[in-house]
Amino acid sequence: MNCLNHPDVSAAAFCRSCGKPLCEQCKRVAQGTVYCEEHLPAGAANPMRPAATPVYSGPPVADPSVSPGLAFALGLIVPGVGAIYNGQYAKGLVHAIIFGLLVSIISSGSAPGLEPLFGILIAVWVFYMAIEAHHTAAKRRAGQPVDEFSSLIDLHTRGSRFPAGAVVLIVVGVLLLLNTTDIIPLERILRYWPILLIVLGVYLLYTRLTGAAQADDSSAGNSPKEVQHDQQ
Amino acid sequence: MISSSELVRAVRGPIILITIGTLFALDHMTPYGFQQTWPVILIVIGLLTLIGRATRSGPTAGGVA
Repeated sequence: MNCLNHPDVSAAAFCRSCGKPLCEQCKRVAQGTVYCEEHLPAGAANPMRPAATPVYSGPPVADPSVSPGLAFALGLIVPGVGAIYNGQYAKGLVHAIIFGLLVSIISSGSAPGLEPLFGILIAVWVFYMAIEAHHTAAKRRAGQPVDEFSSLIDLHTRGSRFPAGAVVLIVVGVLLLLNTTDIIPLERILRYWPILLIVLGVYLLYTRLTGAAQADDSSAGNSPKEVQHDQQ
Repeated sequence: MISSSELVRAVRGPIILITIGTLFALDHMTPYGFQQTWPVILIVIGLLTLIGRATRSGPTAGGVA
């Protein structure tokens, strides 16, 4: 398929909004995806400028037709639909998949003894999705730009030195895998939970003892990120 | 030109889908049921996040947040 504007050049990408085929010259990269010239979102007008430099390109346009109440209701009724209402299709899919995983964990009985925990998690997740959709819709109505994977918990401003979320995910995944494959049952691992307290204490000690030296470092490293996130 | 961090972002969704598809295929074709193998998804997501962070702090840092 060839570029719509240059019929002799083969297309390198497709606009996220209209699906138009675009060559390298015509494609515009903004917010991590490709747009055509017309559908380039406001606030990302200059594609040559690196996204890291804070650019203020006029107030974004407010959209009064967006209803936070409707987003909340949709998010509460069907998992992921609140995010889809906000145009965040990938996030809606992720939300629905997480919901499905939690439900299937309970119904398959693969986490014996932990059903109450997962029941609470499902309830928390259902309300998180609805409240998050409400929050995002309110931001859209006010005309604030919204990230594709916006969330209530700010993932960008946390310290970038240690990838805690990823490591926790991997450790939990390995433990649950050992449990479901009957290599090491979870009960035998959970017996050692006080070790977590010790590790946490050691980690806090470590950050306190080394924190004084790195305080200047981290504050200098974090502030541009916060600016950048606000601008998104 | 596509930077490595953009590449990681682009392949994240497909890789998770492939993982889920593989697990369901294993569920149907081998004795390993989905109720045994689902934590692999958590591990894959964690690894992808780690890789994404590693590439983001490279020379093209700050381009994506």
